[in-house]
Amino acid sequence: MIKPPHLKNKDLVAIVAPSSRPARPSDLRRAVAIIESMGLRARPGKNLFKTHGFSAGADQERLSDLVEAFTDDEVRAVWSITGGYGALPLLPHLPYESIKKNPKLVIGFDDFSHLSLAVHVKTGLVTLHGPNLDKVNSKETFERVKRSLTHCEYEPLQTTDAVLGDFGFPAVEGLGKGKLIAANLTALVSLFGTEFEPDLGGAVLVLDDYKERNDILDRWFNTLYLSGKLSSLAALALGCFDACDSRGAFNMLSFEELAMDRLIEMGLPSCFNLPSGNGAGTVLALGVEVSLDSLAGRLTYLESVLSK
Amino acid sequence: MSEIVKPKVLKPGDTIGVIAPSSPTFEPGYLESTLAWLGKLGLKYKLGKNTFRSYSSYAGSDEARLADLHEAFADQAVSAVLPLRGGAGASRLLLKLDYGLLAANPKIICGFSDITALLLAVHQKTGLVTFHGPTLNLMYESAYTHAYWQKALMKTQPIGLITEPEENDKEQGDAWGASYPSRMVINPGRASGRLTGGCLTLIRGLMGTPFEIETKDRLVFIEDVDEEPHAMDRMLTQLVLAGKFKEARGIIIGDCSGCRPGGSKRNSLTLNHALEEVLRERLSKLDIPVVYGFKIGHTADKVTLPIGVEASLYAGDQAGLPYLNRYKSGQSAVRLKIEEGALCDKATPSKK
Repeated sequence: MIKPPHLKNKDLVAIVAPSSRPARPSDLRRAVAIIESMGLRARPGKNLFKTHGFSAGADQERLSDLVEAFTDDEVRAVWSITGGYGALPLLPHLPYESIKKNPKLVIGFDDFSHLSLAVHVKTGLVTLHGPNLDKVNSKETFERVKRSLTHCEYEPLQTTDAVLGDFGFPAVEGLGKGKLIAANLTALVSLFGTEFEPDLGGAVLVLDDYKERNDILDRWFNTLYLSGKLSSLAALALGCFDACDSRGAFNMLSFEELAMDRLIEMGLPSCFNLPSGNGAGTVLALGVEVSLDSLAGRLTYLESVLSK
Repeated sequence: MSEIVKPKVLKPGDTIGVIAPSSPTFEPGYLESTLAWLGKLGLKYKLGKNTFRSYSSYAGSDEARLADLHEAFADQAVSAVLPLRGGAGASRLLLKLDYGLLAANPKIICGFSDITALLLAVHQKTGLVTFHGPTLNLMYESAYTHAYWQKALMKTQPIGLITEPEENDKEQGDAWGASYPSRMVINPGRASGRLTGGCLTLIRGLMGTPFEIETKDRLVFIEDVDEEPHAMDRMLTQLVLAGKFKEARGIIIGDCSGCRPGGSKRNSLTLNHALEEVLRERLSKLDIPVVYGFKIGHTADKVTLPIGVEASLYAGDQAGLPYLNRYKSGQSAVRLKIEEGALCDKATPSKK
């Protein structure tokens, strides 16, 4: 495992868009302002506003921004500006050897989750599952993210977290300890069967998703179940599933209810509404030892996340 | 992969086991007319006990749906097991499915969409030839669909060349008033092999599980409905990264209705590009022939394809012009031929 160094004053942050392009040109100015307000310097990728169908430029253009950011020693963090779609096809071409030699912070979620998972799997680097720059949209989120980038130790994460404004509840009471994997559910399942699939045996898994139909979420959750990976976990926490609904089907159970059946059947320590993903404003670190107390709804880091 | 086992051909006087392993059927009248059609073919039926149950978007609990499936296969009076409808939920049954029971009682099973999960799992675990065709409620949706359904399930001869639907059987495009060219070449070439495939969403959902699609030396057919091009890109890219097309012999993409920018019932991204561009970007550089446009899934016209049976694919290289090349029936630069019979007169249980 490689722990990247935490950010210090005036460190350089590369802004990348490996998925879709930012919705508005002002999103970039906003992103730069956020980074500078944290006392850091920003360097936007050259191709952020290129357009190729649904992506921020063709595969080669998105890739070249990433390669430039990852291979430049001066860059201390690579931060995704927005989600959408496009990270998956780039995975075979990332400069994994350079990333190992020159570890830096890698942060984003949504579609970027493909990349955080792949980089972690291929290099052992602790990567961060946290807001894309266009989702840093409250004072609390700003402060939390800033703290997560600039400190080595992370505070526990609670389901009763004020940012989320929601309260968690357990599916199966229990305590699980293991390596933390936090991911977007769609992205995680997209890596199944490929060389970028994370080893979930004994892991504490935190899942979230955004704008997806409940029955589709159940499909991907069922994939986890069928694969045997769900029962191999130490514990599971489901995070934010913002804008996920039944889309008009009035008799459809929620994703939570359908997942609950499986979790009870397996007796897997698990809880709902841990603040992770879109709307939570939190940062979770892949690869670090954690414990999850599902009854208390608390995820505790058992070791430091970043190096000095 | 087990040895290939062919189920027994369906004959007038036979009994169909009607089940709902995924979502429930629509209105009762819908079921009644479906069953009346079976009567016209001289077929009898037995309804699964739990056909009318409902649980979330599923036709009853997993246990109830599974019990009906097992009972239909175990019942010696039943000759073929035909799901009424796809939807969602079939893949939830796979871990608890009694593959030994199915192998000991090889029967026709036919469906598409969500039923893909059953077709692939049963074929791969028992060697049984399974049929990717209309679910029972859709088998008379058009003359083309019905003709191929009968050809596939009620004849022992090879299905042969897959023709294009007659002009008057074609759908009127979709809500956008547009339809893709009937058939086009994404990557030219020639190949043969046993068929496998189904609905992409389901194939993707089985990746990383014990039921993951086996594509070695196969012609792989793929279709989907109402998925945005970026979602198709994600699923196809996953299969590419998993090496699924390195070992395959060829790819047959079905006419994917509603898979267009903004055409999704789910989330839509702005600035999409068309499915065709996704297909060309991801699949045109492979070493195997790739074609688009067969009616194999969510179009009203659909052929019934036997999974596990030898077929051949020809993709001519003169189809370079996207959108503009609309091949008339009989002049197609794309040909798919089912070379081998999929059924036998007398079924023998699988050895495994």
